Amino acid sequence: MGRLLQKFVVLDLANLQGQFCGRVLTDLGMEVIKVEPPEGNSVRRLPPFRQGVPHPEGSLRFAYLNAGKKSITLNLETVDGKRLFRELIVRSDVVLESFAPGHLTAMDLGYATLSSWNPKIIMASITGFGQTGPHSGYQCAELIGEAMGGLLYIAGQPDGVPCKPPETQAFYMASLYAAIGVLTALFYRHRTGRGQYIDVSIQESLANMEHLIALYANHGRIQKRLGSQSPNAAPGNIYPTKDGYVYLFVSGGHDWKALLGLIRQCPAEFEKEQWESVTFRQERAHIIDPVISAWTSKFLRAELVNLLQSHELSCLPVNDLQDVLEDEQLKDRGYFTPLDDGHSFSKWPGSPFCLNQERVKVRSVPRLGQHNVEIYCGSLGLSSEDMIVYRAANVI
Amino acid sequence: MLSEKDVQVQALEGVRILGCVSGIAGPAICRMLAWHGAEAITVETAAYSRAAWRYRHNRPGFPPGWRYLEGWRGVRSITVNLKHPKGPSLLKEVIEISDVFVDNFREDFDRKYGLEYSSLKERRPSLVRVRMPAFGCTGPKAGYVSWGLSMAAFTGLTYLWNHADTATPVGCQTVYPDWVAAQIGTCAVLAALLDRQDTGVGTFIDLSQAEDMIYLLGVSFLERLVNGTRVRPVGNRPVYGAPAGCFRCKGDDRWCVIVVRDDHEWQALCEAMACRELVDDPRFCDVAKRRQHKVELQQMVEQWTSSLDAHDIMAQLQAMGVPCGVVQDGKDLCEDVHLRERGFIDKVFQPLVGAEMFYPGLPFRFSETSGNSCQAARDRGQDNEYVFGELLGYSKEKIVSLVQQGVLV
Repeated sequence: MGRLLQKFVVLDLANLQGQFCGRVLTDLGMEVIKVEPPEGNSVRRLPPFRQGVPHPEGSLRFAYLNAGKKSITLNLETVDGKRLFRELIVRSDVVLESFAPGHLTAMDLGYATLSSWNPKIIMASITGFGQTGPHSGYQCAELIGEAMGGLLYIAGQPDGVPCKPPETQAFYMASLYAAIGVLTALFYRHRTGRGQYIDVSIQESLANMEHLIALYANHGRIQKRLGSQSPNAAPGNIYPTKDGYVYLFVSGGHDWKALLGLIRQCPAEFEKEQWESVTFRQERAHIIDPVISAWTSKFLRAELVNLLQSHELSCLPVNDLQDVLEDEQLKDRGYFTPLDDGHSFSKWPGSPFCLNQERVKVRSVPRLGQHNVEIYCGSLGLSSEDMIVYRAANVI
Repeated sequence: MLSEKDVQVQALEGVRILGCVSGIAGPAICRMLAWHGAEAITVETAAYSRAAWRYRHNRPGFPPGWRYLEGWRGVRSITVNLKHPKGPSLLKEVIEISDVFVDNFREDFDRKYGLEYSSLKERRPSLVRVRMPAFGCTGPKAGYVSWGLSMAAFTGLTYLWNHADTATPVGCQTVYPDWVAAQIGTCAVLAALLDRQDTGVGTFIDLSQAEDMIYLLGVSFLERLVNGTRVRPVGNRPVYGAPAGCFRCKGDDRWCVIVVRDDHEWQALCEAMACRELVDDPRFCDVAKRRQHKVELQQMVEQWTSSLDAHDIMAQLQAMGVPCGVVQDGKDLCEDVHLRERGFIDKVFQPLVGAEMFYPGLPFRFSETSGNSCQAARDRGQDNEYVFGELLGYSKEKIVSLVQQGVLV
């Protein structure tokens, strides 16, 4: 089993906000061409770097978000650059971009122009607040998206400062939605022959997730920060063991009774029928948690997880990254593997797509302009003389 | 191919997805496809694990829970009892008229009910099968149980989702990994369906929700793998820029976030704070210096924000081109003028509770196809007659008899 969607060609103009979308599409088999300005995409200048040393080819963030793509350089500010871009558009299926709304239109490279060149083209824009509405011109750094989408408010200790999730989750989530949008639009195109434009909002990508809007609009409830406490379970929290922490999630009455059977020494009131109700227990989490913590503290972490899992109770270790790298399950499934080029990275967080029992391989990370000759000469038919002229004119 | 005149063709019209799903991730896939015109059918069965029912709260005699009302919008419901000897074969008949069959139960789910892909595929070679157990279909932990936040704990998300100075891990109450699994699962379903248009053959997709989440923590893992450094939580400190973070504002539990990325934005912030002299302060003259003195900066900025309304700060700073946002809670989201103008919040009449209710809609707008998220949740078994009568051609008597035998419950 190879890849699924090899026939589709994607031009990826996106910066950090939308770069993960193209990565997902490469993992699904598409040929994704990263179109970079001659000085390189801005993410190439973002940390972390290999060995901590800033270098144009050393950004691990760029590497991760662009593995498997091809890289060409193209200066869209020049007349010749635009002409080459037009030729690329005619040969492509999808364009991804995350410039500020209106930026490409001002350069006469908006969707209207692109679709006049190629009516089948599908274009997805990934921006903080979308293309319309009073905040569409707002600046959206990662933290802004998470705050405005509601995720930040519910993360952290109840009496503490709201806490951001790691990496650029708001951008990743919007990129996943953009990938869904592109695939849906390809379906539509298959039926109608027409391309279309997709406007993805980072704010909405998060606001659509949790139940924050429904809870307030329909029940007048504002979901607050709860620390590690789950809003759906009790026990539903982080508990200590002799050598680290576990997360234990007990929801149904049956699970609660199974847990009591293991703990044995519990306050007598826990045995009463009303404690089988998760709502009842949630209101008494402050009574339950010390009892659970005292019990879990007697175990080694792995020992406790095995015990509870053998009784079908949802308990897993709170892992740091090294714990995850050493996990037997992920090893068994070959999740962390060398990159497909065999030399550049000896271990790499793999693609999650396992198709017909075979994991999709992640291809190598492109150097800046690595595929200029392949694309410009191979696909567009430029001669080596043309390339010299364009290079001299800072077009490619 | 349709003509130019055919407007508003739903993108996924004609696709049928069958889901044995619960929780967040599985239903979210069915829902997303339904909103784009597919026919999504979910199976309600007493065979599901106990915890799965939390989302339903819809056993006979119980009102449907709010999570169900939100999560199953636009999704049809049939009630096949998989524990009944005739249940699995009845379900197979529905699978044979479906394009996609998805479940988010444990690894042994298909073996338990004789629903292995090898046998399903014999009868329906074009079937796309998506499995998404917590840890995937293979490996020593394939049978592990994972609900809610335990997956965040396992994958390192809980460890990383903390302030830099945290003594013990906190993480977040959200079931974020479920949402991630939902979007990756949807991508997989759509990709396999698109591929099938050329090949005519379905694909078996084995997704591990753990791997889905780690996929979205890849930069951190790569840093650990390549540089060997211990990657620690960094809280609100962004990749670049300073001052940057979350600042207390006027009111109870009110906050804003500000991210100053360059000197230009720094000058604008100083102007907004009426502290122009800071621009020339050697401690803050460039990004590197400002990152070095981030603690002092945090205090200075918070001194300014703490007496002001978060929305006012956002309006002022954004007008000057400085990235700033309100840390919005549920009420803010509902009242957000921008979201309102974009028509993000759907008003849906829910017949199950006889009331109009509000939900977030799709996070994207299409220029041609209009995804329709304004759909209601359906009653338990509401579509038994449609699926078994209309689609499979069962007589009324046969359906009644299946109910009497306890196959349809």
